[in-house]
Formats: sequence, C-alpha cells, structure tokens
Amino acid sequence: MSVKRKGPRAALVRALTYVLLVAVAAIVIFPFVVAVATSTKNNQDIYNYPPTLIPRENQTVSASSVGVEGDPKPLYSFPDSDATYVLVDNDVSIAEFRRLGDLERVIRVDVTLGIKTGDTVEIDGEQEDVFVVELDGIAVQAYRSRLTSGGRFVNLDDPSDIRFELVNLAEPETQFGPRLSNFSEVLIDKELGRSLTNTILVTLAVVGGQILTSILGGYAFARIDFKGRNSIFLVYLGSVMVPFVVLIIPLFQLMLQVGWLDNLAALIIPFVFTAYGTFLMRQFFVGVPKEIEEAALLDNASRSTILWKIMVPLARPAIATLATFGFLYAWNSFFWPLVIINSGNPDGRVLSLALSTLGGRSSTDVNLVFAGAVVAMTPPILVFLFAQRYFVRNSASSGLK
Amino acid sequence: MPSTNSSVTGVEGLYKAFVPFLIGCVGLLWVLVAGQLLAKRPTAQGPDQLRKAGWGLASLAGVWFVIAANPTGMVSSLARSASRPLTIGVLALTVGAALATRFMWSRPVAQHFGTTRATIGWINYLLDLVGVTDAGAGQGWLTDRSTALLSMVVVFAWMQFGFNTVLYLAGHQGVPKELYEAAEIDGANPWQIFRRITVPQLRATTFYVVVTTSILALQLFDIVWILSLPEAGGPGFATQTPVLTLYLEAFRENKQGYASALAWILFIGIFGLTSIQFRSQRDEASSGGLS
Repeated sequence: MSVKRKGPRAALVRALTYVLLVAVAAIVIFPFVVAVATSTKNNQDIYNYPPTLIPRENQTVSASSVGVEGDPKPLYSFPDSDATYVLVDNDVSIAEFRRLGDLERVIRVDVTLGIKTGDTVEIDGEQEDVFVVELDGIAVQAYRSRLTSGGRFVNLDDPSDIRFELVNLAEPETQFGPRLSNFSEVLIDKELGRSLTNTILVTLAVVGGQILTSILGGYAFARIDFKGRNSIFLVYLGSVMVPFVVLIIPLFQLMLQVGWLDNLAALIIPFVFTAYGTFLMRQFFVGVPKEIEEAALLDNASRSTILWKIMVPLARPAIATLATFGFLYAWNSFFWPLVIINSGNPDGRVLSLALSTLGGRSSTDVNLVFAGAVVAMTPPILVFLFAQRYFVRNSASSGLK
Repeated sequence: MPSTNSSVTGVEGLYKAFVPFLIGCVGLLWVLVAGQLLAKRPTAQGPDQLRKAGWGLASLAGVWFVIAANPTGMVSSLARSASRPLTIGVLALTVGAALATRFMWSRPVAQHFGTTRATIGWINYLLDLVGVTDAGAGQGWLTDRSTALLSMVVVFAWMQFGFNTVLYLAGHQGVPKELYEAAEIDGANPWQIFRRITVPQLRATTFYVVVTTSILALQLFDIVWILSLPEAGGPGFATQTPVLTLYLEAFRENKQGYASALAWILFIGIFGLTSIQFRSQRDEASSGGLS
C-alpha cells in the first residue's frame, strides 16, 4: 500500500525545490544581469570594489557653492568624520608628514605649509629634517616622509575646514546614476551602428533566402515527381552530415575566386541554401493531405498558386521555426565573418566581429563592451521569446522524437 | 489525488536537481585536476613538441567541454514540478541569455568577471565573500595556464545550458504520464521514480544531447578565440582547440593544405558521432519507441 506524502513535509520539499530551482536559474542568469547592469555604469563605477549591480555615480555640487569656478565638484567623506567634503582640486602637491613620537600618525598638508626647524632626527638610519606642522590646530614636530599629489577637500558646511588627502583614500558619495549614453557612444563613436546595420542586413537576407529556397525545394521534393528525386534528396540531406569546419577552406577559396573577400555577399549567398530547412519544409508538405491539392488542381489552379496560396499559409509554424533557427544562426555567426571580413574592411564588419575587436581595442571600457553586447543580444532574446513555443516544439522534433 | 501527485513530483524534483549538480561538480573537479596535471607538461619541450602537445591538449579540451556541458541539461527535469509561468520565464531568460552569449564574452568582459585580473572581478569577489580566497588576492582565471581551459569550459557549459535544457524539457513532455501514475500507485518512492522512469525514458534525449554537444565541442572556436586573444589558444597551448589550430594554420600561416588535412581528421571524428546519432534515431523511429 502506498503511503502518500502530505502536509508539512510535502510543503517543505516543495519549497526546497523552488529554492533550488531559483538558485540554479540565478546562477545561469547572473552573467546576463551583470551585463545589463554594467552597460549602464560609468567609467569609474566599473572599477569599484566591491562591484555592485546598481549603477552609481558620484554626487556633485555646483562649483559656486564652494566659491570656485568650473565644473560641478564631486562629494567625498572620510572614515574619521561625519562631514561631507567637496573635492575642489584633485591635483595639488601634498607633503606627507609623520609626527615625531607617533610615527603611525600621518599628517597631510599642502606642500607649502610645513616649516623647517633646522633640526634633524634619525629615522631608520636616515637623517631627516624636522618640520613644524599644524595638527588639529596645534603645532607639532614631524618629519616629511614623502611628497605626493592628492586632492584639496573642503567641508561642504564649513568652508574653513580644509583637508589634504589622497583621493583614492576618500570615500566617494554616490547616488543611483545610470549612464545611458554608453549605448549611443558605442553605436556612434565606436561605430557599432554600421556593424549593427550590416548584421541586420545579412540576417534578413539569410532568413529570407532560406525561407524562399526551403519552400521551393521542400515542395519540389515533397510533391513534384521527377527522375531521381529520392536519390537527389538523399544526397542533399546527406550534406547535413558534413560539418562546417570541412567547408571553411574550400568555401574561402571559392570566395577568393569569385572576388567576394571582405564582401557581405560572402556572408549571405553561401547560407541561403539549407538542407535542414528544405528537409523541414519537405516533411511538412508531405504531411499535408493530397486531397487539398487535388481539389485546387481540378479548379485549374497552377502549381505556383497552390504553393503560395494553399501550402505556404498552412506551413506557417514550420516557417516560423525555420526563421527562428536561421535568425539565431545568422545573427550569432562569428567564425565565417572572421575568416571573410578580416583584412581591413571595417565597413563590412558584422556585430559579432565588431564587438570582439571593440573588446580588444578599448579594453578599459568594459561598460562600452557590455553596452554593445546588450545591443547585440536583445534581438535574439526577443525573437526567442516570441518564437519560444515553436522553438521548444521543434527542438523536440528535430532529433528526439 | 492531484495534491498527492504534486507532492511526489516535488520530492522527485529535488532529487533531480541534486543529481546533475553532483555530476557537474565531479566533472568540473576532474577538469580542474587534469588541467593542473597537464598544464605542467609542455613547458620543458621544444617548439615542435609544444605543437604536438598543443594538439593533445586540443583533443582533451574537446572531451572536457563535453563533460562539463552535458550534465547541466539534466536540471531541466525540475521544470516538471514547477509552475508553468515560472518555468517559461526561467527558460526564456536562460535560453535567451545563453543563445545571445556569444556576444557577451570578450577579454575585458572576462576581466570584469574576474577571469584575468584580480580584485575587480565578480567571481573573485564572490569567492572572497565566501571566504575561499583572501580578499584582493584574486585568481587570474584566464591568464593562469591551469585554469584558462576550465574557465572556457564553464563559459561553454553556460552557453549550452539553455538549449540542452530545452531539449530535456521537450523530451520530458513526451514521457507518458501513465508511467508516473502507475509507479505512484505501486508505492514507488521519488528516487525510484526518477531512477526507473525518468532517466530511462529520457535515454534518447540524453543520447542526443551528448552527441550534439560533443559535435559542438569538437568544433569549438569562438569562445577560445575571444577569450584567449591576444595570444590565441594561450596561455601557451593551454586552450588550443582543433578548429583554432585549423584557423591559425590556414589564415595566419597560410598553410591551407595542412589546415585542410586537419579538417579531414576532425571530420572523421565528427562524422562518426553524427552517424551514430543518425542510426540511433532511425532505430528509435523504427522500433516505434518514439513517434
């Protein structure tokens, strides 16, 4: 007799299942989330540690509020003070002093502010000049450990409170601030717009071409009797077995002969013929009852009328599947464009290629690379969302069932 | 009846999630160990031996990619116990993300994830958080010979995850519900249901996933190219794959004949896998086991 699991235990198991499911999903989606988040960050934010998922920008105040001229000034805070400071000048010469008797105490002041006393003191076997500097309003003796450059910070509420500190030791005051201009920058300044146009053009041509040739070929193989039909179909289908790696070099030589190196035609023409698509359409057309066609033939309809007016509307699901696969393939292709459009034709580059070179060229601008990546992956995701049910159904039928 | 039904599938889902997770962990561990062992080999040898070692590593790389990418698809069985909108949402996002990922990976991006430079990357940061590493110590995942290939395996597995999940989901929809009902009536526990029904029923799917992913792994090029530039296949020969070798020989060294020979060697392997797959599909079809 079976014992059914009910009550709290079943609920717990169910909850755990969900937790696990969400955890796995989170791991898979995480890089994607990072991509979107980083694409809206500014150049400083991408190097902040710890990294965050929410784009932050420095808070600023207008320069006039602290009595200077120029661009808005960023706000900072220091661990030892509750006050907010304005970075008025981020490139001043700073002298670092260490208090005699308490060498851990670092005093940073403007380089002109230390007064040499003429005495010397021995620190780690070196003779150092003794200075008098001000520390919290009291003059103390110190020696100068180094000269550096840093920032002059002014207390936002108390202009007489001025600190000289290293900028990277100060904590920037940040607020939520997405930098959406990353997208226009990557599309216009980095010229990814041209690559995007090329990719769209190539993808549309490939998908359109594949649909056209597959419908015509599939219909012919399904319904028109001609000599050697089945053996030709077998050979055609057999080409699915030939992996692309074997074709690369012959195809490259062919493109070289035709003169299509560096030419978008080389990205389109070889791929408008697809054995897989033809097979898909043939399988679909074979499944359409012959009676439908015979009725049309009796009404004196021509072959092309039957194909375009009757068969093609029926075949919409198959065409959608074919279009989805063709789209994803053409949009994502990387290897073949790398082979063909590699010798100095930036105008012929497609998106995948342009992004990989953008990554190499301006490798410090992670935010721009991510912005380009987000632009590039939005269309496939949208297409997948819309065509999802065809995609899943056909994945099942493409080989498994 | 429906409530008990869902509770059993809930338990079953839990098992299903753990098993692939464990398999995945073991696979990754093995890759890590093998990577450590192999990474030390090519250093002491001359350039020609290096080249050969690169080929050896290349073939092994192919195997590793398969091992890491496949078990992950198993997680999909979980979908059966989850609500439909959640499943669709998760699936759409994972698959969409995975499909679009080719664009997402470049060296600076990888740096951002912590694969080449310490301290700023997400992976290193998360490891810091967990306490595995000292804060700021960081691991140069792509620049270290022993982890470069592993990093690419992870990216490949991540990219394949979505599609393989769809395949498992589609396969799972074809499993007759009566089998589960019968097993429940017979008092089978969730583990038995998983072990005796789900796994055998998804045998064809598993086979298909293994073969197609293997074929893809054998032809792996873009991840390696993008992530290993400027030193394609580097560091050293740690991430050299067959197709990368082919590309470099054909279009950098201009030895297209030599590269064609490589292509044909590769073809034999891929063709073998493809024909096995075709034959098994034909057998499945003719035996009537699957429609």
